[in-house]
Amino acid sequence: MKMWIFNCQHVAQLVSESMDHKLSLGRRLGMRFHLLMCSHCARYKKQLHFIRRLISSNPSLITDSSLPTMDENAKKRLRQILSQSDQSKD
Amino acid sequence: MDATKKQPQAVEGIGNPETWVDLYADSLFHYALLRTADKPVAEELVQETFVAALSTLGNNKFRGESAGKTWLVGILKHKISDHLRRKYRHQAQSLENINDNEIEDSFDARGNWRVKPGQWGMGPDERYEQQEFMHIIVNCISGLGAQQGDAFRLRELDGEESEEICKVLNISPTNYWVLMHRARLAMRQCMERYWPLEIKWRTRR
Repeated sequence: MKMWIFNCQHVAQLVSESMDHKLSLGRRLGMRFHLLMCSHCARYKKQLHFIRRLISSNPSLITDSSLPTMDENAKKRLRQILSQSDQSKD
Repeated sequence: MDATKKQPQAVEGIGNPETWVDLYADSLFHYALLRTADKPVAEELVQETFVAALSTLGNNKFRGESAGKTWLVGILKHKISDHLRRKYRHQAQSLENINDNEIEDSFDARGNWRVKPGQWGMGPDERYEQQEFMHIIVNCISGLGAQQGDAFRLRELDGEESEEICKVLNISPTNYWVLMHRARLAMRQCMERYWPLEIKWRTRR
């Protein structure tokens, strides 16, 4: 990869990497240069950051959302475990 | 809030173990399911959490420092981490055997986008803090393939650093970057697939 000729595939990878650690100067500049010229990759970057922001800003919504509740049989098993050890206490 | 009430309230917050299932099972299960994308495993982890919590109570180690749910989630976090470590302990370098589907699907031989990222019409974030939109996110997060899904979930849900994720998943840093790259491509694609159905009409001008 030469500095000024990153293609979209390289840049998409760099965009991802830049969300987890700081890129070296050359790669950072190469990425920025490409992002200035390429609206697709710029949009890709924007969308990834948007997804991250949404996930981190809505932790409670995520836990209360459409995930299924725990299976009744599993709950029954849990109740048994909890009541048994309650009796055997002391 | 009230300092004099703090300690009894916190202990009370745990409740009688017999009430734990009704009070905490579903939210702990959601928490585990979102991070493992595996129902039996999530059930197992909730059970392990309750058992560990019980033994802590039995040893009088619990000092009412945190509310019941927070305390149990703290235990569950460790259980999830242990589970992932066990899962990947014997899978070193497995990444090389998997082909780069997401990457090959997304880019042509010259590295151009095969399907260009679509316009999402993103506005202020508040607009998206709604239930059905979060359903899309949750579905997409849960649908991510095993190892890349685990990497993505650790990073984006729990904010783990890449070094820690490499240890948990037993992968090299190079593999980590590839996994995350794939996961994000897949996540974005998934979001876009659902996007028009529920969201677009709200953002149309």
